[in-house]
Parts: sequence; C-alpha cells; structure tokens
Amino acid sequence: MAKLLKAMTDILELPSDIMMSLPKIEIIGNMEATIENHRGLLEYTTEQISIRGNKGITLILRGRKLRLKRLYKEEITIQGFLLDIEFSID
Amino acid sequence: MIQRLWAWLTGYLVLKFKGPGVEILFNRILDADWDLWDIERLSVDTLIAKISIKGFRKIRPLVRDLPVRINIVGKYGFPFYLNKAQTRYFLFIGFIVFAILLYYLSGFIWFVQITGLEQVSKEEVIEILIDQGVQVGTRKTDLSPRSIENQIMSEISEIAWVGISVRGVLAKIQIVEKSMPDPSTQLVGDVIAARDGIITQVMTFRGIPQVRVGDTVRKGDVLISGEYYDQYGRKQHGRAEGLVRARVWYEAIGEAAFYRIIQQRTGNSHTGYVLKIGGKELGFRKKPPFENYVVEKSDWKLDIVNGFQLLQTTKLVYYEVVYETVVIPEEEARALALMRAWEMLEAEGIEKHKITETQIREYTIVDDYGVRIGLLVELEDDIGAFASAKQE
Repeated sequence: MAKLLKAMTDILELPSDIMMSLPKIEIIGNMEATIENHRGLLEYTTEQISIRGNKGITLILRGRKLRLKRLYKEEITIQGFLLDIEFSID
Repeated sequence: MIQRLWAWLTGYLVLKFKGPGVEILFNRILDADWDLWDIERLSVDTLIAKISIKGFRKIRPLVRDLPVRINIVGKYGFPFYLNKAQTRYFLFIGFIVFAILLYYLSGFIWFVQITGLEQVSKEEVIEILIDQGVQVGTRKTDLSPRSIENQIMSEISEIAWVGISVRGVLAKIQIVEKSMPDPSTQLVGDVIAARDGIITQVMTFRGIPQVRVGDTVRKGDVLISGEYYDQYGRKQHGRAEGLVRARVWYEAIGEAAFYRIIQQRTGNSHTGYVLKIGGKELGFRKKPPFENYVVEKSDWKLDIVNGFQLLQTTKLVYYEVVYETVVIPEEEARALALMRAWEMLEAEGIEKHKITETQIREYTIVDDYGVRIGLLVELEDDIGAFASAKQE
C-alpha cells in the first residue's frame, strides 16, 4: 500500500509531504528550523531537540542555545545555533 | 506579527514549568490544540513558555497526574491592562470627564471667520453678528444661520450674498459684495475742448461729433455731444465719449538780464553790544560808521522762568559791504532765458524729448538790459475733456 502511494506520488508529481504526511523541514541558515507534520515533542534541552514524525521517523536537531519559538499542533519552530540534523527510523 | 498582536489583544501568560516530564505535558497541550510559544529552558528541570489565557485554563486537568509544577511569572496583554485601569478609578474618571468636556465644548463657536469683505467695513458686519448672537462662546444650537444671513443682507445694502456655515467650532461667514458701478461713468454730458486748436482727428465712441477735421475750436467748444434723439424722436441725454486730437500751441517766455548785482564785504567791521535786563533795553547802540552793512547777531540769555528773560546780551557785528555790478555775457544770458522758457513749458505738461525741432518756433528780443526768448511749440494733442451736463 505504501509502495503504491509512493509510486503514485512519483508518477503524478504530487507533493509527498501532503500525500504521505511526512515531516516537512524548512531551515533558514543555521538559525531557524520549522518542522511541519510532526507528531509531538520527545525531548527538549538547549543542546538537543527530538521531534517525532510519521512512519516511525524521529528527528533529532542538535545545536547550542536552542529554544522553541513556536510549539503549535501543525508546526514547530526552533531557533538557536543549529549544528546538525539526524533522522532515525525505528 | 499578526499572531503577536492577536496574542496581546487576547492576553497571554508567561508560565514557569518545574519538574521532569514537561515534554509529555507539552504534547498533551498540543493534542488539545493549544499553542505554546517562546519556550526556553532555564535549567535542567525548569522551562518558561507563553500561553494564551484560554489555553492556561484548559491545561490544569492535563497536568494533574504529572510531577510538574506550574507558576505564573507574568501576565501581559490588553485584558490585564484593562484590569489595571479598573483599579485606577481617577484615571478612568478623568478620561470620561475629559471626553464629556470635549464633547460639551465642541458645541460652542470658538472661532468666527469673515471673508470676502472689500468695501464694507468689518466692524459693521461684526456689530450685526454680535447683535444676532454670533460670537465666540455661542452655542451652535442657538444659531440660526438663515435668519442671520437675512439680517445682514437687509442691514447692509452693499452685500449681495451671505453664507454662514458652522464647521466644528469655526463659524465661517462668507460675504459677496455687490459690484457697484463707478458713479463717474454714469454721468451724462459732452466732450468739450480743453484748449484752442485745429482738429486733426475725431474718433467718436458714443455721441454725435460736432466738429470735423480742419475746424478751429476754442476752449470750451463742444466737440462731441451727448444729446441724441431716440427712435420716437425724443431728445435724450447720454454720455459722450471719444478721442479728439488737435494741433495746439503752447507758448512760453523766458527772460534773463545782462547784469547781476553782487554784494561783497570790504573787510571792515564794527562790534556793538546791547544789554537787556528784565525786558528793558540798556542801549550802548551806536550807529555803525558804514553806509552799507550787514549785521550778524549772537545772543546770550539767562532764563529764570520760562519765557521771562532776566538778562540778555546781544553782540552785534557790522560788516561793511559794497555792491558790485557783474556783467553776464550774452551767451550765458540767452542760455538762461531759454532754460527758463522750457521750464515753463514743462510745467504745463510738455515733455521736451517728445518734441521735434520742426515743431518749435523760437524768437529772441535783445535790448540793453537783457534778453527775452519766446518759445512757440506746436503739437498734436488730445484736447477732449468730459463735461457733465446739468441735470434737468
């Protein structure tokens, strides 16, 4: 089923974030990152923020002086000095 | 930006969360569809975050089974501002009093502006306005512009239209004056000759010309008549207008003598003194030893009371003079006579630079004593002058 959906979005060139409700990440320099389609905050410290996405994806952002500019149901905006982003799939 | 403004308008709280498992609480808040913003971790177990007032009310049940303590650190936004204002009664009362006062005072006339006056005096209009109650401090509701307009119109006949409009606290009075015709153009009469001459041109604008080119006219003759007969054959009096040019002559005589008498001092002088005490003259006055002399006086006065002279000395110096006759050369006398003649012409309004040589006749009479030069200038001039007819 998931394979079919992916094939369809590829063929029809549909935006995959909407079709497959995957997290969409928008990064501005190393200062700000906005994550849409998230499923909650797992961990928040000034050095590391973990965000759960759909399909078992977990997003880990590391940096310094991190803070949550916005924590809304539809999006999370992180500000601070970003160092790296890691994806882990369960 | 819009979100910030909305948050301020609806009011928001700054909360401090203390204890482990804050992330769980945050996820519960998100699931309940409430937003958090400006989240910052202060220490390992302390966070601050902002939430709307409504959201705060709803998170209480969510936190019950969690080891998290929530404190309100700050309250911001318009609702809290309003609360604050409620405790400041006098500020509130002052504001209301100010508003009422502003409304009340805006019901009065504070400025009166009058425009459009040229001939009619401003004082006259102001007097009527004050009579009608239009002045600074009048209530706007007490004004009836239409009746005031009528009053002004009826009292001052020179005014054609008056418009009164009240704008805020300004009463604007616009006046349009009647344009009165110039009374001098209303007169009836003829164009007459201002001086003697031979007519060279007659241009009639109104009226019936009485002379033709080549006619000789004397001062006072009617050139263009204002009288005419209308279509019923009745005699009417009108105003004659026109341009009548004529050859006219101006004459002037200038004289100059060949001799001039000059007074000259010989250098001899004599000094005398006069003493006056209390207005009485004590004479040491001696007849000067000269036949012809001039006197120079210099006074020294001692005034006690204004005008009353107690003591006065006068020094008199007599200078002997002789009279000499100086001969003026004929050329100089002629030039002087000519200049005097021209001065006379110019006094009559003739501009020397406009006259050509051919228009001037010069004659000279010379005798033993002096020279006399006569100037006769001929020129073409407008001789018409308006003479108003006597009203019958």
